[in-house]
Amino acid sequence: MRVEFKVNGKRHSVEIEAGELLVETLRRLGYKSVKHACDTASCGACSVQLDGLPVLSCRTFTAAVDGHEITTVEGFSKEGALSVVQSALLEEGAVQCGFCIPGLVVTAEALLNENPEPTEEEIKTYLNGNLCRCTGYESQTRAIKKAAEIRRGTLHRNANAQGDGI
Amino acid sequence: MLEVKEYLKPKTVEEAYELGILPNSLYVSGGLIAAQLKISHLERLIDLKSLKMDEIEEGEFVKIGANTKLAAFMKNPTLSKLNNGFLEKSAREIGSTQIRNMATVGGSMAFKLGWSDVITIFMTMKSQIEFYDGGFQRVPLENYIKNGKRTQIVTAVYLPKSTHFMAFEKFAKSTFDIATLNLGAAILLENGVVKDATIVVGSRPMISERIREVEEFLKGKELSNSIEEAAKLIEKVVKVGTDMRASAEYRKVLAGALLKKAMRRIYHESGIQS
Repeated sequence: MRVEFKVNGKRHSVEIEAGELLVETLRRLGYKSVKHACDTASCGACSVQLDGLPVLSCRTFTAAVDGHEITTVEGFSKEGALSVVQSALLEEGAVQCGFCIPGLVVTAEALLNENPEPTEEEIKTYLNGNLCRCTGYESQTRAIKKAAEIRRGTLHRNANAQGDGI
Repeated sequence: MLEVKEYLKPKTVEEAYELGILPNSLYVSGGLIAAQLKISHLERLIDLKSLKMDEIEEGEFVKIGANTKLAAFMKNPTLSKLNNGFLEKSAREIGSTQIRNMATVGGSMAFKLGWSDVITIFMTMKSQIEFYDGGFQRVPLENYIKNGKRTQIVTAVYLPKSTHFMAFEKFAKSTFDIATLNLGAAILLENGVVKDATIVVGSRPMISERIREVEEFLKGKELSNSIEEAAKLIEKVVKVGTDMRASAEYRKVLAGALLKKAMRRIYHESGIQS
């Protein structure tokens, strides 16, 4: 069957199997930031935004996203520049192996859109479906709080950080 | 990958039902459970999201369309405020942000899974469930989970309005892990005395069940003085089983512990002075 949807603003028309999952389709289209990991809806590494809300692409049928808009982590960095969230993660040492980071960024971006001034507890609650086995969660929480402050204009970014991709 | 011949998006509930009664068909709402099934081959997946059914309406009951996402428990102003924020607080214990953005109210009930937190929560609220089975029917959720058939399409859930204080507790490694046991308590108080009580235990690992002996025991008692005794009683009467998560003996003790926690939470929230 054929479906059409947008990924990061780019329209795709794709021939898919009826039972195909979104993670498989996106990776086939070259969006390799979307990780095929636990396959049990437990880790969040396959997270993408579907019409602006984070979902698990390993548990989403591609046929169900016909006519919808997907955003992967690539959608948040414009012209190669990192987004505020990505830069803050780097600055706070919240990235080690990096495997979980695309899913984390996608979820954190949605959080900051919904709640521009999250508390530490709200960050932890919102991101509890994004597992990280390297850095733990303290530096990630710190980074997202920092990104929120930068986005609100209450904190100026580190002079060495890369440009704002948003 | 699940091998499926067709993925269909019917326009009406009648059309969906006609497809659903064909052999080897499966309804999909949020998709989380369907995508996780151990079966390898299906003739057709029938996507119910094309039927909309995502309205939330307030009347004599609060009607929640079957395709309403669990995220609405936290975001929808009507649902998040019900019974002192019971649904909002309970939703925090279910899955993750991503799962709550995908899982639907109807889908969480239609599969009648023993470990469902949502079924325990909605049974605690004495919900009614509406389904299509060649005609629309509305029955208590408690009856539906015992008698429901695979081909029925859940269309809505109705929550009665009440002034009960409610609490939901679960014991699990994380919010998105299957609970070793979950428990819901709804208590109506009059001057600190229990006028009505609903106690539900789920993930036993069997499907959720009301514990009527404890409900009856609590009626007419002062809440603050009956917590310990109610916990002892539930340990005695709750029917639980053994699986890879826990033994029946462990679950019995857990039921007592979760009931105490729920009753203490209700006691504090109700603002009773000891």
